[in-house]
Amino acid sequence: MATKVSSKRRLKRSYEEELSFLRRTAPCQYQIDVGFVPNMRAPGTFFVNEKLAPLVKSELQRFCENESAGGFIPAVKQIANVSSLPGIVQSSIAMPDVHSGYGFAIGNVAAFDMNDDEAVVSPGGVGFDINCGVRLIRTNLMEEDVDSLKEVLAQTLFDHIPVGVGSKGIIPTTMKSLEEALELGMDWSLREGYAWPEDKEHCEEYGRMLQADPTKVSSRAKKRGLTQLGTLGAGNHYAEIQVVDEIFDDIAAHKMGIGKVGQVVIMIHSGSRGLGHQVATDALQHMEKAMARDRIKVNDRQLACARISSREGQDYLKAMAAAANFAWVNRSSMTFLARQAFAKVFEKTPAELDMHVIYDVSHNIAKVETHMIDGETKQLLVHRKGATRAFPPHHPLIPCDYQFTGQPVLVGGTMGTCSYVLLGTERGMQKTFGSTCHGAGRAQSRSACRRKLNYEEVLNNLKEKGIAIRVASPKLVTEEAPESYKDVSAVVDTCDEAGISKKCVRLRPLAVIKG
Amino acid sequence: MDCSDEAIDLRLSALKCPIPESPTEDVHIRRYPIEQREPLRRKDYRSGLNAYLRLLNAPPNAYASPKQTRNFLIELAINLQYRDNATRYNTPFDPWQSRCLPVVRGVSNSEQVARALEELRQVLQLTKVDGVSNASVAAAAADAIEVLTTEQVPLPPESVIEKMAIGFDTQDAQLRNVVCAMRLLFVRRLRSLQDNVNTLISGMQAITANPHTDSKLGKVGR
Repeated sequence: MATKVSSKRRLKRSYEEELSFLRRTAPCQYQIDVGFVPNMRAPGTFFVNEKLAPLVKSELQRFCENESAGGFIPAVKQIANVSSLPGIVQSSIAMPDVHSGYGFAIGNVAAFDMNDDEAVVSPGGVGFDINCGVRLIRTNLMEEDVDSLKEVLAQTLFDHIPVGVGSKGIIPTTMKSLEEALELGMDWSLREGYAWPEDKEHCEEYGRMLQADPTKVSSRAKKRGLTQLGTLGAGNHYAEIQVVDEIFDDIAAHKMGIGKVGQVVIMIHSGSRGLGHQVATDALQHMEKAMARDRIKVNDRQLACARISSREGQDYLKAMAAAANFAWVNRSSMTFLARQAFAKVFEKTPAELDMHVIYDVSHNIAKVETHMIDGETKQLLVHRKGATRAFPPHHPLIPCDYQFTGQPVLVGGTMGTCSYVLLGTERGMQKTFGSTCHGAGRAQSRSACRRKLNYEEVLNNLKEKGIAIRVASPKLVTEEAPESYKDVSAVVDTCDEAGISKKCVRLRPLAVIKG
Repeated sequence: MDCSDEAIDLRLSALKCPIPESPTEDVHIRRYPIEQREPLRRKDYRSGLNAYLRLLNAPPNAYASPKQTRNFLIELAINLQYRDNATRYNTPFDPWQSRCLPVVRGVSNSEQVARALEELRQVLQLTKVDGVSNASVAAAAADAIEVLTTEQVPLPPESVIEKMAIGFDTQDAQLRNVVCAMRLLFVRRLRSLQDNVNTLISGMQAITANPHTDSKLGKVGR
């Protein structure tokens, strides 16, 4: 049992002392006791299995042995720091793919009571790539139909969807149409004809946050977004042609239009590009002033936040919603371009190829949701940063097609590894505010990857696996190599074992385009 | 007036009356008690029928042919049906009360049914607001019964229903079946609503959509 110590003493704890605050409460679940960091208002919780636990702990060990290195704060400390924020409900929770991020850990979920005047919203709890998310599009093609065309398909996709840092899109956009897109989200894509009506139905929030206010988005942010509509970006963003490798739940897969192993699908992972980044940057500046005014104290400067009801808090939520709308328009635009690319290669219309959106999830977002807390319904502002909403069967906010199966959760792997489709569960609703993992989760820093790995080797490894690849910056692929990430299957298995989501389909890559 | 067999059959169906195999139908007669219906069931029913028509003050053309007789009787039945239920037909639509079948309307008077509904309410985790919840459950149950008995609802295979998540755990197979039926009907209606929405969006797109690209604008980053 952890003992109370002064904050000065706490900084000098040994690794073993720090470990005494971490308790395993279930086979895949750990609790971080109050006292692990100063001012905790609630405990922390994280989900890892035996394979992933050493990664989380080794981060803490490195921190204890060389505390001040580059201001690095390990994920477990960040989870606990979030527990110190005003208005937090129940616990600061982290998913199995958790790793250190800006303020909040990536993979962190935290809910704040909307009826608590002290409760805060924090841009660090959403992330810089607002509404970064994953979209999965099915086709009626089988692996044998695309096997000989992999290279052609990869090249055609690469030709249609601009990728990389500083890339510019091919969808003509004026400032007026951009502002409309920020307000209307996917309704803009529908109005302009870049999306199908059924796409909207299979999109989280139906592709539009109604509280979006483009006037709260700075002109600098708009300028950055103006040329970026329909672009993939860089980093871990990608468009992948995948094939169904294993089906764990036939009925649910069938509801998604996934009939059998070997079926070809397309996965798009992207977000709000420079526009979202600028919205987050602007908000952090405003919030630092608000914190001084409202005397909000936080453990880490990166946890800059504002009261939800304050002008800064409201402005951020409206601007964040606009950036989220931009991300949906962006993924819709890329869906349009991917449909064009496939139509060109196979000389069939996208409808003939049955290129319907299976689902579109957001894994960097804050939303007002209703949850049962201690037997009562409460309105909460749920921050999900590197975590995916995973609502259970019969939840009113999931599409009618998935009412009996639960919300599809799209979990992207890393370059050359598997991706998964999971399903939301009732247990997840109770334990994690209806949230689960979002991907593999980084295991090594970008700079460490660049130092240790050779990009030619990474590309050759992919070729040996039979994966066609097109990248804008080959030297950057080392940062996204499978070695840089945790094992996505271990992450997904943890979620399945903990019951916070369940496995439905496994996908493996055939071709990938990246920045 | 359309007096074809088909039109007559349609009207009988509307009254939820069986299509008679014999020339006369003697179940839905309100003027005669059962013991007095014998003359209508005989092979030579005509004299009995004429006496019945006279009792009803039938116009002369109602005697002209069996078809016109049947038509007169159906018209009269429709008029009587309307007269008996005029208040209900003219009352504005109430989503809770008007959709209840007689069997569940007024359930709050029956202690046993009210108790059953209260259990169902608790299982479904419906919030209770001044007894409204029981009426809601009753309305939903009545609605489900009505749809299941009047519409051809395609059900998924039993193996699929067995695995269906109903949103809570129960060992009561009957309760599970009831909830499955209600869930299926709800999702069926939701699908229909969504289809209508999609059709409207498609209609709008026919006017507004003009997707275009300009490859000259494109630039691959670094």
